[in-house]
Amino acid sequence: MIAVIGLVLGVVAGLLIEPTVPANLQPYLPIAVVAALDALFGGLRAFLDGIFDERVFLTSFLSNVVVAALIVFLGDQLGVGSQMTTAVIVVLGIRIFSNAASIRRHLFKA
Amino acid sequence: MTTADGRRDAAHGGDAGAAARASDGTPDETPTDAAVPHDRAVPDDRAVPDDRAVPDEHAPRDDGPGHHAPDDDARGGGTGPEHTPDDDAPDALGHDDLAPDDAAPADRAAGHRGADTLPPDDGPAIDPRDPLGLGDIGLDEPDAVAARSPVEVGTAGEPDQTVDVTRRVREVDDDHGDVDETVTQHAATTTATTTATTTASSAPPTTGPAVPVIAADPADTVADAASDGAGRADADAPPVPERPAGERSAWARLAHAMRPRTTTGQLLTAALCALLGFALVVQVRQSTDTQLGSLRQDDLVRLLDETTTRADELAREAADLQREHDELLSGSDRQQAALDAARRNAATQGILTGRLPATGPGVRVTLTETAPSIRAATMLHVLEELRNAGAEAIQVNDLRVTASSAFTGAPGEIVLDGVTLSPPYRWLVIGEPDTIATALEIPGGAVAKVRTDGGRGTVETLERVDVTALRELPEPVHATPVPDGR
Repeated sequence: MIAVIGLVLGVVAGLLIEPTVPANLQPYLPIAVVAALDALFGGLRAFLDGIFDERVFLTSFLSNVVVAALIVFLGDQLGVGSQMTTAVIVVLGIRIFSNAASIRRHLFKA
Repeated sequence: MTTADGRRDAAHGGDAGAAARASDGTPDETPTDAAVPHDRAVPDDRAVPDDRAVPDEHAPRDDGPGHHAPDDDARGGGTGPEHTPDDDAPDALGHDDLAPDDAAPADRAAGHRGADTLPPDDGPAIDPRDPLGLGDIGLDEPDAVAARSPVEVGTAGEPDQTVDVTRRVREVDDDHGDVDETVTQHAATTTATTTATTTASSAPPTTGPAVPVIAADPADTVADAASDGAGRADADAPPVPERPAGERSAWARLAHAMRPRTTTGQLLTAALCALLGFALVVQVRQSTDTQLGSLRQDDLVRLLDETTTRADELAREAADLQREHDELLSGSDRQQAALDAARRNAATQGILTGRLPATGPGVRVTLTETAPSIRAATMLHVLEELRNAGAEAIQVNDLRVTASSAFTGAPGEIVLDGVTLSPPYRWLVIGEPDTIATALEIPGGAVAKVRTDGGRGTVETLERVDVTALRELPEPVHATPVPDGR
């Protein structure tokens, strides 16, 4: 419940504050967001599995974000930034899908 | 999650019971049955204890049972059948650690008991059945673990309790810490036999196989889930999703979670979710606001190239079209000019050749004679005088006078271009009236010649003279116009 409230609060804050992203962070923010989404879905799935752990969630959330951004940053430095972005997005997308499938199986038994 | 932990512990206890119970009936069978549910039955993990089973070599080295047990557990978690290499969020690492911890001390505890009854030589022989040694928790340590596990199962104990169990198990382990490690390991490998000797009468043999079956079923389920990429390292979780509880618990758990509670974990999760929502909105705004701002340098360069190329193409196309437009425009102008010129030319030539009627200022010359006296030469003289004076269109009586006209015949019946004229001769001339009149009447001029012939001539200047007579000219047969440019 509090998590949902937090999510809503974050969205509202983003809408109200309307911050501008620093230029050198702009390529990494979408990746970080997708990684965080992955972590969120993973957390939800773990919760439904009954193995949710705040510590793991925190760790995986932060590490996912950082690692994803880091990979893309590295790709940028190597000149394959856009390809690396695509790769990361694909991997995270697959994970999100599988997590969503597991969640669906939990909730709807189908 | 707490429920799961409790259940997992319970499962261990159940396995242990199964192993123990089955062992009194068929010692050989029990290990294999129990091995099915236990994912931890990876040979590698248990190989370590087996090595240690050789007393003389490894016993001195493996002094600290506490160190080895975690290692085994860690590997067991990592190499379990369900191990997906990723660091999935759902991975309850703490639980992974916990469950094996429960097991390892149990092994040792069991070993402690069984050391007396079993020869060390059996160790390698029963090697594959090692994991079963885990199951002895409940039976061998009734004071701590066994008493605890049922409570957890029933009350869906908090995670703290699970940790508590582990701690207690460790304490138990410590209690037996003075036991020779070698002996412990040997005993662990032969748990089935050991438990058989210790708890032969505790349970009916029929329930033994039943427990593993139940455990194996969830194992499939979890493995299925793991194949989706869930990546749960806790391979020993099979007992967790108990069927009846799991069916209700997904929604029930959600509803339960919706109840506002302010624990640290909840707040932390909420903070992370808030961060995610914030970043999400920012990114969405960012990507909708500025399309180019978030692009990389090479993307921008490519975009710039494309735009430049496109602009060049368009500029070329525009230039082509402009040129074409100019050409068409000038062409039509030229054509119009040519048409106008031709029209003017046609008019001029039409007047000159007598094909067109003409009007304008001029003079009217009337030559009269009382008797046939005016000669054709005199008429010609008058005509030449008119032309010298700039006459542009000339008509005599009803005949147009052109360049090819000729006066012939005798006086009184002068023939002009084959048509006989009858006096009086009326000339209609378009030209400068005063000039023509003056020219005609100069002394010794045309009119003077007419008087010399015996006729009379009068010249009137008119504001407007209409030369209406036309002359049809035959198309030239032999002469053709010289082409342009010559």
